[in-house]
Amino acid sequence: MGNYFVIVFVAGVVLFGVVRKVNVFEAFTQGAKEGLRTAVGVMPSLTALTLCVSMLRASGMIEALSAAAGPLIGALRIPPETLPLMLIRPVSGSGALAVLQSIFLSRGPDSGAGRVASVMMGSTETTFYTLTVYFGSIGQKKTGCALPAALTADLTGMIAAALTVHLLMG
Amino acid sequence: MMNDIFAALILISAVWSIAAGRQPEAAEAILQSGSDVMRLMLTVTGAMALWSGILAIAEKSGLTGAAAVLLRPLLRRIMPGLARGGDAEKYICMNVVANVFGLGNAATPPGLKAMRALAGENHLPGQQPTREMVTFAVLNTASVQLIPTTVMALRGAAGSKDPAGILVCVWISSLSALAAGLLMCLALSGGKKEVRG
Repeated sequence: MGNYFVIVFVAGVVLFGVVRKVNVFEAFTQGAKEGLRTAVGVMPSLTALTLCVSMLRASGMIEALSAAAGPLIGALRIPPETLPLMLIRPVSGSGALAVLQSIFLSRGPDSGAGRVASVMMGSTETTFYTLTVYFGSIGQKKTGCALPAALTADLTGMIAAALTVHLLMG
Repeated sequence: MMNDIFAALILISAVWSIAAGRQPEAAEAILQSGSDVMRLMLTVTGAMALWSGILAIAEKSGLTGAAAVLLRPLLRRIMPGLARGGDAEKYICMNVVANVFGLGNAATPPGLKAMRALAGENHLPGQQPTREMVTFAVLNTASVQLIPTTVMALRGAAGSKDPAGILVCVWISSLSALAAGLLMCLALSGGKKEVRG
């Protein structure tokens, strides 16, 4: 289903553009140029966080942490390897990307941990960063219930990630 | 905040690796991480360029505009205090559509304009945010997206046999996250007037 969706989505967007007489090639390359610029902008922080995550993994601390929390989160079918992802995801997008990549390299993207980590990454956001940028941009200091609500959303998304992978991808 | 996190992670890892006798692994990790970043960037950069290109076609052709019209009734339901046909509504639609396309970076500019417009509609005393402002922020932290572009690209690059196989799980999980966030917000604000806007 996922494969069909990706194909139909891309073909559908291009078809819609052709029907509307848009120069689809030019529009695509313009957008791609924008995307490249964004990606290069992310690179410095990605370098910093990859260093952190590599060192953290090599030190053996993640294993120790995961072993300690394993029984607790095991009941929710959350693979212990994804614990570092859960901790860093609300804080740093680059950090989460670095953790995700390290799980893919060590366990493989189609392992249980790799799948759950993928879904966690895809269904949650960099909450603290987003709230800071959105409220900060208008100088709004009081944020009401935004932070607890957003963190509840993140936690729910992560638990749902483990459950859906367990139920739908077995 | 990133300053503290960066320093803390490096220092804690260094101390832990020495205490656990894993200096060789830690030193290798430092030397290796530069090229790890380049490998990661190859995938991420390519995916961002590709999906930004697709989104640009969707924007030029008016597809995102049409999607925004479809979204409007739903938005009015979760943000009842939103001024109909106002700037805030327009920018919120643009923001949500970019998010749904899996392009968080393209979603931020209209998102910030939406916040500004919402603040303009805010007549509450004492710096209180309106319920719409909070709901919109929570909407953006729940990451409701049809195509998690970066994750799928990384899965493919890591040799996954089914990079798109996670899609349905992602849809269900992010919608549950959004629902939980909105419910929490309702529960916390109760019937209080200041959060109704």
